Amino acid sequence: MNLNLKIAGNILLAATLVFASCKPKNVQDVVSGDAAKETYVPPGKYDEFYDFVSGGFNGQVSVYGLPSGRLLREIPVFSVDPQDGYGYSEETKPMLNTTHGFVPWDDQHHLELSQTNGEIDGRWLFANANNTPRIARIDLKTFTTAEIIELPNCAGNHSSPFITENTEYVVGGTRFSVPIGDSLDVPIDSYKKNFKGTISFLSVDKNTGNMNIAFQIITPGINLDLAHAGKGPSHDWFFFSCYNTEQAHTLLEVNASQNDKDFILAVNWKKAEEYLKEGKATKKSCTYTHNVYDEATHTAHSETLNDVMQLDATQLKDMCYFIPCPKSPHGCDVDPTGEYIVGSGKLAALIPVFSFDKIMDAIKDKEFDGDYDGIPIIKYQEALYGEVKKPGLGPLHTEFDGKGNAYTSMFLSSELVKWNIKSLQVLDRAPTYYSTGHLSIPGGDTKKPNAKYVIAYNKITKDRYLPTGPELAQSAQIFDISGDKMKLILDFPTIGEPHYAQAVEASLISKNSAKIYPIEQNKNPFVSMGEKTTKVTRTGKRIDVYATEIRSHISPDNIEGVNLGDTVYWHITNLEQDWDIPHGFAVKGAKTSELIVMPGETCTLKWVPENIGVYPFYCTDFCSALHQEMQGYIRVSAANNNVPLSFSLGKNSTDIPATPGPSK
Amino acid sequence: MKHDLLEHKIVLPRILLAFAAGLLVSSLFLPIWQIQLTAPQYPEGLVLKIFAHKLAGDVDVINGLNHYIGMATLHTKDFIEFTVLPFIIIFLILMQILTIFINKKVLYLINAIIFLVLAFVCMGDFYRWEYNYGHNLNPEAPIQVPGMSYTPPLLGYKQLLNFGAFSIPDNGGWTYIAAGVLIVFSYLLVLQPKWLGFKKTQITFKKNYAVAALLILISFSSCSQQPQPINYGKEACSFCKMTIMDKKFACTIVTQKGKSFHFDDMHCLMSYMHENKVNAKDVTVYVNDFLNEHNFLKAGESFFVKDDSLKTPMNGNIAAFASQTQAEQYIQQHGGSVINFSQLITP
Repeated sequence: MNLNLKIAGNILLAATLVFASCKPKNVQDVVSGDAAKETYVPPGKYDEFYDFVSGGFNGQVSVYGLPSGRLLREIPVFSVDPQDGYGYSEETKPMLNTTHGFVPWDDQHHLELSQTNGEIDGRWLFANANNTPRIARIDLKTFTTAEIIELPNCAGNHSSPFITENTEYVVGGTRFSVPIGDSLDVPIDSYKKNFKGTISFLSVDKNTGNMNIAFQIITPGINLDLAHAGKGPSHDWFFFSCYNTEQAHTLLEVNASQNDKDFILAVNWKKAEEYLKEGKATKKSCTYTHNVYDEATHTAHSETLNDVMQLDATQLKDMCYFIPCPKSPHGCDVDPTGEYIVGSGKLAALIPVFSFDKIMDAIKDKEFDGDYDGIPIIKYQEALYGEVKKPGLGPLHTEFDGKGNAYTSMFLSSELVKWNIKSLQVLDRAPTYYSTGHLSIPGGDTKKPNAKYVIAYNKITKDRYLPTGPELAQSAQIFDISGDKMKLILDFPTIGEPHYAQAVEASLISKNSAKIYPIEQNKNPFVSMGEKTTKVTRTGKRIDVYATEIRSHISPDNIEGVNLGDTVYWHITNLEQDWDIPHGFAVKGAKTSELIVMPGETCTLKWVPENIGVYPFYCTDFCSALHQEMQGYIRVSAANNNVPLSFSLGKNSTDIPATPGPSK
Repeated sequence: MKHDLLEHKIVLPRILLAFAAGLLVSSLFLPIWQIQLTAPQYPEGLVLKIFAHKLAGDVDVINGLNHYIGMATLHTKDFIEFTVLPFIIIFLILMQILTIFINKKVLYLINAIIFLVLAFVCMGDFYRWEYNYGHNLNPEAPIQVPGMSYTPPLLGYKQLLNFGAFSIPDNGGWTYIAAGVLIVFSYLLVLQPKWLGFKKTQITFKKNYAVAALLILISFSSCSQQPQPINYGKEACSFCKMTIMDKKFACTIVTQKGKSFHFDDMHCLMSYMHENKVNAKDVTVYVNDFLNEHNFLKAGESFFVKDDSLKTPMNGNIAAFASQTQAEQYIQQHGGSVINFSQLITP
């Protein structure tokens, strides 16, 4: 008996030692065997999709190919780009002009591809700026920013730039309510009385794409987070997720998270149009800039506008309705049929799905639960289709596959969740690495999704890639959703911080992509249509260099007679008409950036020399075998000297006169 | 019984108590308990370590995360337990010394009882604290899941929102438990209580050593060197990370400690060994029998064929057979060439 007891005791001791090493293992991420085949785009072949990804705090828009995850291009939109001179050249500086002056950076959050009849049409890409509220329109023939318009009476332009399904309007709603009334200088704690939200509706010209603020709707001082327009039956409506119905102005982390339900704001924009026509809008004076880039002149112009038409949502009936939504909703997504509206409450443990039909019935039957600041609140149960129970933690965004299913990103539980809209059942989960924010399916927010892939854009990277010090790129994963279950096929780092993405079949855009700018269409006032027309002129203290670049020389390439105190404008025309032969231009000591000039384009660099001397200038883009020889010199003499203005190309060249042209 | 004991000096129990005292001293310095936290966005994992005298580990990170759900922040100075516990352990150490020197039988009983009572009191207090921590939530917390409470597990695994919590003794806790086992054992050895069914038997030194040897053997031998079965369709190759689908080419390395590494192709297994500088003498390599997928063969006893038409998952293109005849038969039918295991593993 003794021995048995001893053995038992010893075994117990040993068991505890063994047990010490047992613990549940972390689930390893498993990639299916044929993932490599699915994502591999062989050399020389093209990707299937263009993926436009917002740059977040980077301010630009990046373009990736799917499924390879290769970075194709970074389009400068709201941040200056010293690489190609965006925001540094005289022609593009006006693009970043605002009522606060020249703003060289912004926070580019969301993107929206233009649609016709609810389908992506590949004409334009709209991008929003969060910090100094603006909306940009990018031309997808040239992948350049064509227009930027500022939004007055707005701060934190977050629920932006979302479009109606026929691109009639693009909207921008405020995240930060600010005082917009007659007095702008009020105490901060008068928030509830003085701070308001605005939703700007910008009309988009069908042909040119030019934007104009048609009207602004004034809302109570709540935060408008995201928005989507209705489709099909809900075509006339726009839906905005709202949080901070507590109207807190400090410690929002706690104070804006108290209410069990915030709202989805349903806006009948057709009704708003009617009110506008009936003269029910008030004209409010305020300043904002409208900057348009003219492709023919390769030049941007900035004009300042002085008023907007405002409609008060708390006064005008039947235009705005609140639908209760748990809890601090973020995403507000409309399914392809236009019938279901999904609210993602980022602090909620369920996903409410609202029915458009039920909302219309509730409005008709006046099933209201009081009002918020004069705007009726529809009863939650009257608008609700159903709730997805226990989908995960921290739902943020939802997109659709067009087969009756929805995919929602879960930030806290770091996963994508697939669920069926009609049955509200969770069908599949896939972990993301880590803490996914936004997800996108090509066409996933339109009438016709192309549900081949879903891409998760994550907020935490940690150990996904080789470490690069404390600052890491954001991570993204591509999942194949052509089958029933999600299959992880690729993991790739992204630049900036993606908040939203829009992907589209490549052929829609690639077939229209411009290769060059035809030089005969160049209407820039400083263009040189050939080397024979290049010259240098003086007007008082202003020097204009009309120069051309063509493989492999700059004309003129010897310039003398510039004085200290002069300002030199270099107007560079790239005479090439061949595909992918850009030329660069830089001059020593210039305080701007270089220029990259496309074939047929003219760009201007402003230079104020600080010292006397001879300054080299050269082509910065490797253009030809003799690129290294593509250089010139400009001589800067002391003020009040007697060096005559002269310019030439080649020692004994007879093509260009050695004497200066007529000065004004 | 008294007669027997007086004939044999009480040596082993006092040795055990001396060990127990030593173990208790280490409990003063090593962490006694740990709560490990895993979450998808924490691949590195988080841990809360509880020493006799302080909280340690990722306390600050855990406090930062828990404030979202309204849990109180943890600080060593807020817990009187951290002042009291070291004294409790010192008291227990003194009890061992006392019992060794005074050597009265009743002391062994009292010693064991006091130890067990204190252990239960500590665990009870720990549970009470955990319950409060999980239930007394800040009503203004941003994230409120109705009906949810966050009591960490007392022992074992529990899922709390997106975190998995695993509560288990840490090194100092194991030494404490080991001390307890020794203390109870010494009591049983000395008093041999009738209610446990003890008979009048003699305690011999030989039996003690035999038992000690068994003890050492059990604690050092872990899992045997058999390969763990592969979870096909779910498990990933330890080298290339692809899912192991094809049974015919799967292979395994088992280390001396009994840990199994699975691969979907001999190529991966060899690459893994090469990259990690694994010596073939230190491990056992198992390969799946090409002709019988339920049969795991030892690589050193198998016969290999290299045939490019096999198209294995990572192009290793090597198949394993149980006998030379079978390997040669394959070559006759499909082509390929014989290759030795030694050729495979030497770079």
